[in-house]
Amino acid sequence: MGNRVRWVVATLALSACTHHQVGPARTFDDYVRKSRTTAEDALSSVETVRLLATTAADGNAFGPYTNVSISEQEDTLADVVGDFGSIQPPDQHADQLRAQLDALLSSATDHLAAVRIAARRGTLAGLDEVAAPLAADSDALNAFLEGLT
Amino acid sequence: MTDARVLHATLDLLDRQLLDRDGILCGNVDDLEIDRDETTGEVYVTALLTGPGILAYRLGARRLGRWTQRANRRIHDDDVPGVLEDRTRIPIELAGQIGPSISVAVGAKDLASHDAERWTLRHIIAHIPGNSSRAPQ
Amino acid sequence: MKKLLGVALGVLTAIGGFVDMGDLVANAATGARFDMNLAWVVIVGVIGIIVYAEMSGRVAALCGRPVFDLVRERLGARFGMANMLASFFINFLTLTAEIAGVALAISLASSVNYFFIIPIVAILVWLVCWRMPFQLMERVFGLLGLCLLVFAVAVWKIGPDWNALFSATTHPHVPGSENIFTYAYFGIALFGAAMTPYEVFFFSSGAVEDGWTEKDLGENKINVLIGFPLGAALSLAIMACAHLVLAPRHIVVEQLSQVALPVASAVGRLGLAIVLIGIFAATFGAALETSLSAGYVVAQYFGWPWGKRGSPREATRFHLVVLMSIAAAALFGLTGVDPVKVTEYSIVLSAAALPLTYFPILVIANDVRYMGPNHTNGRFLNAIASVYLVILVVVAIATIPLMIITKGGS
Repeated sequence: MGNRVRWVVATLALSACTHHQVGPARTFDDYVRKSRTTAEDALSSVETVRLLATTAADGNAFGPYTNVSISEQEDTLADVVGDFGSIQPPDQHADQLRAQLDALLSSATDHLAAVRIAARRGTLAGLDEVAAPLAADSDALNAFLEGLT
Repeated sequence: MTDARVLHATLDLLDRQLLDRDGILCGNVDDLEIDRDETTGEVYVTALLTGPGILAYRLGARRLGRWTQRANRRIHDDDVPGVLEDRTRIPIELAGQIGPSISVAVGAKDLASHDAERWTLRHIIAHIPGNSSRAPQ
Repeated sequence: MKKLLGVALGVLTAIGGFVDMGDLVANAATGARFDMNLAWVVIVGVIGIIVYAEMSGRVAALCGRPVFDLVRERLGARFGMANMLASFFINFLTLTAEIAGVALAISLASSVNYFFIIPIVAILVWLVCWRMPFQLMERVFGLLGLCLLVFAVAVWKIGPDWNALFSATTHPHVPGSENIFTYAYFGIALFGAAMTPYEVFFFSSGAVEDGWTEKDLGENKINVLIGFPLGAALSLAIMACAHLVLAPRHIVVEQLSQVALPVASAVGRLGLAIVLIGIFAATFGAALETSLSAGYVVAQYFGWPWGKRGSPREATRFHLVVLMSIAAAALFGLTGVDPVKVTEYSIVLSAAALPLTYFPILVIANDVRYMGPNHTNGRFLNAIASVYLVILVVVAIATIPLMIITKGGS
């Protein structure tokens, strides 16, 4: 491996560590693929927070861990939403998809914020109830993903 | 025969670790000085070369080599009278045991390869508390 | 009795020391995404590290020379230099990942901002390298790392269908939702995590510093042969936790906190506290080892005095490299790089660079001039080591293309 190649690899690796990669979507298929990744990432955050909430409500996790973990997922979801928002939908078909997923994402974002707020207030015992609406978000995201195939 | 010997010298000498007379690690054999006996045509290693810039020259990075040598002249302090004429050249007579490492009959201080070590001590390490005590084991 | 205790302590340290940030992330991420379909890679990886760690310990004990010194001697100055630069760079990424891991563990336990903790961690790591009783610290962190055994407790508490778990582990396939490229990429990440080269730099340099001789070879073998497989079993427990708890919920591991989540949900608060202590200890121990490894690779290439046994005055450039590496890694961590991403890249690039470290060891372990007539590799060992060398080369060649094809496994 030449020196130059090594530097290119190193630079790529470093820049990949710092940036989320979002490219433009040239075709509808491309847009569908990106929507899928977005929905999968969102689903992961939603499910993580649901599990965190039940774990905390059962008395199985302490405050700092719960708070920090929920905030992390909130940040992750915000990144995912931001990235998806910046993708240009190529046609009207894609506009529809975008509207559909946008709705799911914003609902998840709201519910996640509610869980974070409750956790910060220290009401861990009832956290599973605060997180209950996330179940619907999870179902909706799952249905959305199934609809894509 | 001659080629075989040169190859041998390269394998057994080049890039080996150098130890000074007190067993302090003092650089690697960065290059060899070779002479040829005109009458017999045999090739001898006359000196081991070590120190700033030597390796760069050997690898063909002349500019880096020059730069390193210049930088090293700046950080070298002349308070120690060297026993070596050229502080990067150890005559082969001073080389002792040749094994996985090579012992030489000079002090690390006499070698240019150790200048940066002492510069780092004086300008950086010596200013950090606890630098001279061994860590309790 | 005392000897037995020493051996037991060594083995326990090896178990705790086997797992670091790379293993935590790689095992949890693959378990959540590929269930147990990549478990076999951990087994292949641990056999490889056993074979080569034993060799490097033997080389160090018999000729008193650490790995990097020999790399230059045997591969030549030019290739040795390229090797040194590559190893240093990858080690730097690993160091960054470990420091971030320590900071994350503390942040999860205290909710103090991760960015405030990084500089403190860096200073602590440096202090230990500078003048703390290193062997003691290494032992302490190795033993505290055993807290990670709570992952095994968690698996047991979840009470999976053991037959199903076993058969999932022994019948690997590429899951339907994934393609062969991502499967291979994650496999390489796991392999790189199990065989991380810094372990060898550290191991062989430590052996030289502690003045190992022929007599220590037996203990070396026991540590490696018992400690590492148990460490690998621990890795598999982490993977199984993710497989059992995270995978069914479609959770993708992107944060260190998610690695600990199965333990919290299965074992409870105490389990969570124990796992965070374990993560803290394992990553702190690895941060120490990678800091020193940064100094080792550079100092040993140039033939400078090195080592943590004497005072810093006796190895000034070595200590300067260690100090600067820790500072640079902390600064890199503070730029806001994603610690889990850094970890992933560090283990994948480690995998790509594996032959650079392991090939010279194999050559020297067969050289009578270094090893003496009775301690060169046996035929059986050489056969295994050669097979591994082929694997390492294949992995190294495949890594970068796979990284590009899968866009870093996304």
